[in-house]
Amino acid sequence: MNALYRLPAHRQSEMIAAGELSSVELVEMYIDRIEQYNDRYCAFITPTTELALEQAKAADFAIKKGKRIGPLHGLPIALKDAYDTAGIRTTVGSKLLADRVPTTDAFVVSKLKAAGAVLLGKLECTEFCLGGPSMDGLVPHSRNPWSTDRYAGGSSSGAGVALAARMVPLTLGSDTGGSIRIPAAFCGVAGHKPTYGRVSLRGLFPLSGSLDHAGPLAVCSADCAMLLDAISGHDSEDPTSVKAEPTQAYATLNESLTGLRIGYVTNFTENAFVSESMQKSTAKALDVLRELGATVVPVELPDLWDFTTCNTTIMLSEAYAVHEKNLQTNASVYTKFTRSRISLGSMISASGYLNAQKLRRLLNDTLQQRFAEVDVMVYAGMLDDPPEVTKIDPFYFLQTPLITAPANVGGIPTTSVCSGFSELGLPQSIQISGRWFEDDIVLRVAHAYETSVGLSDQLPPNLEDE
Amino acid sequence: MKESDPTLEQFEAILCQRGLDPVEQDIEKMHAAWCLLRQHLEKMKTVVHSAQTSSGESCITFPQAIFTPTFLGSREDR
Repeated sequence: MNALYRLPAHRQSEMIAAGELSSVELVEMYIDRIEQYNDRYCAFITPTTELALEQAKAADFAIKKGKRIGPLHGLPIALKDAYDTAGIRTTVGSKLLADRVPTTDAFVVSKLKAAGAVLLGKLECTEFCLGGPSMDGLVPHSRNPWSTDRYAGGSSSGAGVALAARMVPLTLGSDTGGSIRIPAAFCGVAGHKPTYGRVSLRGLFPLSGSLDHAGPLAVCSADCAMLLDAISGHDSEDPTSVKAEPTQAYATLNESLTGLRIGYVTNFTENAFVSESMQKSTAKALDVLRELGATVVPVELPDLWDFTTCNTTIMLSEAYAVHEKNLQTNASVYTKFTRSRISLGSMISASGYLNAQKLRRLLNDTLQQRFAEVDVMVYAGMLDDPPEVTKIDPFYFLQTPLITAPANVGGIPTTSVCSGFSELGLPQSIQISGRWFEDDIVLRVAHAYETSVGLSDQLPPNLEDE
Repeated sequence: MKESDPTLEQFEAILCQRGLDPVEQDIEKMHAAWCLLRQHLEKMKTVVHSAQTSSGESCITFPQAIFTPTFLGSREDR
């Protein structure tokens, strides 16, 4: 049998349901791995091991009594440190909030508790969820297990890293311009940014309310589907939450792709910003999807720069509105990157912001027209290999387009999955985007692809040996 | 930097007016970033205005609400 940590969460869940594995055994195994690897990779900012063991014991007791709640019951999970957790400090990666202990749980945290999940801890995130890396932050930034001098991606950095090092099987991140999909891509795991409004934002620290999305990162897309089913659903106290039932993405994962029309977004992938190696990796992934029965047709969307500028303008403006007072009174407590980036938002005029909102509508009109022709769209996950940490410019997002931005501007469900490895042995990825509320179809395509290529069980080489 | 861009001194002065105290060693990078962002904003304005001109009202009447119950249609639609 594979080592327990190598199994995806849905398989661990099946073993718990069958009585082949206890939650306590599983949690103890992950605690050992956190003790072994966290000093090296810095993914957990606040482990909650005692609480986890208590919750695991309670889960085992209930399951033995025949009171298993569902697939998450007894499974460990860790959360980006931007989700409020009652009684557990929630810093959003900032010295400003170093001692902040919320009194209530974020809506999704209460849903996880109700589903019987076991909280293993809080995960490092770049300060206030704004890119990163935070070199002068509250805690050291997470190190990418595939190459510790390379960026792990942000802002859900700890989530990507903890999964890559198999310190936890399930995590929650958040995504305003790519903050779930970028760490998933750079760390060789899966991440799903749901349809806007599908998952409540209440209790998630805001970066930019109209672009923020809460969602799962996991070892594979099937685990993302399982977790999405548990956290999605209407929240009457969140004005952005849509009146929709929770997803049932996990149940439909194995449906065939035959007859599905996939749009290959040529201008997002075949351009000077995307490395040749990443372009080849995407082309190979499309071949796999064709073999699985899907029809692939080329699709062109508006210029990636239009999506990027729209996203950047809205994000910086809304972020500045959140931080204006603190930047005026406590600027020196912020990290340099965050302070400089958000301060730029003060320069954007009201008409600049409103033009970005108008552009957002125009871009969405085009997206919807294209989705009348295809069921999902596929394009490169990232532009290139993860950059070296020391070479990251604080304003990189103005110099190269953000290939993750279109999904935030559109609010469309999008999954990032590993599609291979570059010449340097670093993870590559594709993104799969779908129509609003068709998270299940997106995840089904991702799962079929992953199952076919078998990349989701790959571990960073230095972890293979240990 | 375009002629219409603020000089470094002007840029710094605007930030000060806003009550902000930029990181001293990053101010030049911030200024360069703002000049770059201005170019992107200008291009965005052109795209939006040309869409307004060509499609009449559709863009002008775009509901400028920030949150997406309007952006995605009313919640009751689902």
